[in-house]
Amino acid sequence: MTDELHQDDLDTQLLAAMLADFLEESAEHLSVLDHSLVLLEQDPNNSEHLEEIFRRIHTVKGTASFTGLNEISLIAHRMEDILSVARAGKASLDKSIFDLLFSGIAWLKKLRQAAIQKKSPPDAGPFLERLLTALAEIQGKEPADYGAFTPGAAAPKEIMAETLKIRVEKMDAIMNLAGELIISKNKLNQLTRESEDRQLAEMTSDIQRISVELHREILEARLVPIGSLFNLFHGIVRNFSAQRLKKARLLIRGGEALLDKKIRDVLYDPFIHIIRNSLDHGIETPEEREKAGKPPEGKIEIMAARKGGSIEIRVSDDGMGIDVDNLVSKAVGIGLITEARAETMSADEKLNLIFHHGFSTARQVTESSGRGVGMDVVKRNISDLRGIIRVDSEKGRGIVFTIQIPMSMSVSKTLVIRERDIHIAMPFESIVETALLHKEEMEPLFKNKERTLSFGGRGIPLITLPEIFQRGFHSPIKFSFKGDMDSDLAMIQQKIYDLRIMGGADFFPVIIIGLANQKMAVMVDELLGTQELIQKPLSEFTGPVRGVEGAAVLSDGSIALFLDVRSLFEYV
Amino acid sequence: MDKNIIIIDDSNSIRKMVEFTLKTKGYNVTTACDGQEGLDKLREKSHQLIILDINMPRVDGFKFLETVKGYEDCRKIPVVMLTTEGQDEDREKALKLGARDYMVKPFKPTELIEKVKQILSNDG
Repeated sequence: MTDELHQDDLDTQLLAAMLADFLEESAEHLSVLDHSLVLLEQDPNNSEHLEEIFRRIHTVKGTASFTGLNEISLIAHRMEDILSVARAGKASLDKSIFDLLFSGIAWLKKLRQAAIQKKSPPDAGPFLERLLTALAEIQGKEPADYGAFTPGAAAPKEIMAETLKIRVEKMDAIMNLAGELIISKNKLNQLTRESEDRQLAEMTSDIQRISVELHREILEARLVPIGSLFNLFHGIVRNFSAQRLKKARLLIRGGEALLDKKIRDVLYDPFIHIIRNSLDHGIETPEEREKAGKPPEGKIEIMAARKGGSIEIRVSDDGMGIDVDNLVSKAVGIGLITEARAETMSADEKLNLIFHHGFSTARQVTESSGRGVGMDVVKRNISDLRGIIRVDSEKGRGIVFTIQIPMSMSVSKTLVIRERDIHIAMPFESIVETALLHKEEMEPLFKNKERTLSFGGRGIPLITLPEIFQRGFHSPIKFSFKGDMDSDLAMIQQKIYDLRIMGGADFFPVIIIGLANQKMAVMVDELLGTQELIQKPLSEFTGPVRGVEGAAVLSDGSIALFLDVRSLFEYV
Repeated sequence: MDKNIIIIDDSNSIRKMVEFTLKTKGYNVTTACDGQEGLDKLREKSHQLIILDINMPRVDGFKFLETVKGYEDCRKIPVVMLTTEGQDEDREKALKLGARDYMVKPFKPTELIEKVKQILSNDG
């Protein structure tokens, strides 16, 4: 009896641990299933997809049965039955069956979620009935035109490297320590430069190399393919478009591009939002599309590509796009901008109104004007990741969102500059070029109200950092280089320039910075050199500071402000 | 002598459950997530028992069984197949291919311990 009790205890314990493992493992199965099912629907004769789906469903069924998640096991079991009829070549999978299989996955997700939240599962009875009816139906159907199918003939390729799971907090802690190490190393570098000890110099150079490599390895360990995020959207596009009586297809390219897991996870919400907007307001109904001379099925494309230390993601659709005139008149209507302002706005600025937070509260307005509900939140999410989002659209042709985000957090290669007695770090990826301009080139620029510098065949605005920081105290005044320059600021400019000339400067360091396809030139006092820095957030006591997104400790122990490059472009 | 057991299953949670179950009884356990990895790991040291799933990517349970029965040094290792309810044909096929016994999922961990003990004691 005691032995039996002990055995029961052991069983309970081992199976409880298994439940936690299953809930984790099944997330991947369900995500792959969603994706593979979409692929199979597009190419129903593809035995590789069918085999993958069959195998995963089978695994979910078998594993769930151990853990007492009977509904999951039952639904997976019925789905497996349906799939095995197709697998044996005895029936073809038509649209209604695919619908059912997709619903099946949705049910499995729902039940899994309930198990995670320890809630009682929703009643799956009626859905199980539907599965049974469908099974009976396809078993009665004529054999379809399936190619010969041999099980195991085309086993899906998977990466079978040894893996180890680490808790995210642990990983964050390791990364923070490696970050601290880099800061200490920078200080050591400084000391070494001041001393003449050769042995110390050699040691320091070793530590330099090792700490940088260590940090890089840790960052790389955190990288995941962005496709693992994109694949979640297949099911969403499918379900959403069906609910809205629309047809839409999701195309994904560049899913192998890598980025930090934390960044990927934060991107989920903004992407879902953009995709929902596309299906709600962008893609037309099949009838409307045909009238407009478009194929009945709409297209949503997601493309990712690595660009230096960043990833650029383009999300586009071929829907009705944004009616800019309509958008502007609505913006004027709700008092977001004045009519006079609207007249001076560029096409780009007008389009960017969709990110204005005033729009998100005016739901009716945005719905009738086509876009914008919650786009301010999307923009904020992206900004929080130190990323940017841009929109391009042509009425009737569709919309393109271009998102650029750093692929990993923490260490940034920067150019450190001095502006008066402040050290400022500029992220390397935003720097296009540095130049020294002679005072003779500079002088006419500062005499002219339209302070533009010729770069690469076009005029780009030239600014100084005090303008940016000063601007924080002059908030309501819109500063523009195109005619209505604020006189205070003009005075500051003149003073900066005069000071330098008086200081005997002949040359002015200028940094050309770029963001998406915008460029601008920033004049600074001195270029100090490059450094790898760990960006830390500003204290909560200071709150957000215009133009500054964080701070870092420099190798000599002093503090540098991290320049928020995005805000510079918002300012011009 | 220490007994080495290998569990080959594509489900991480089943692998772990079997591993922990057998480790509580003092067995050494190796895990593999498909037949191919199983074949590779089988060669790394001698094993006294193989626990084998059927549906797996790359090399499935049947192919694994056929291959192992062709290896002079491994053909005698007893194999316990993990099957699911309703897989009667599969079960028969596995036994024909030389599997010693099978378990039907879901089973209790302690039932697996009993089965393993029994087979290993028969084998001496």
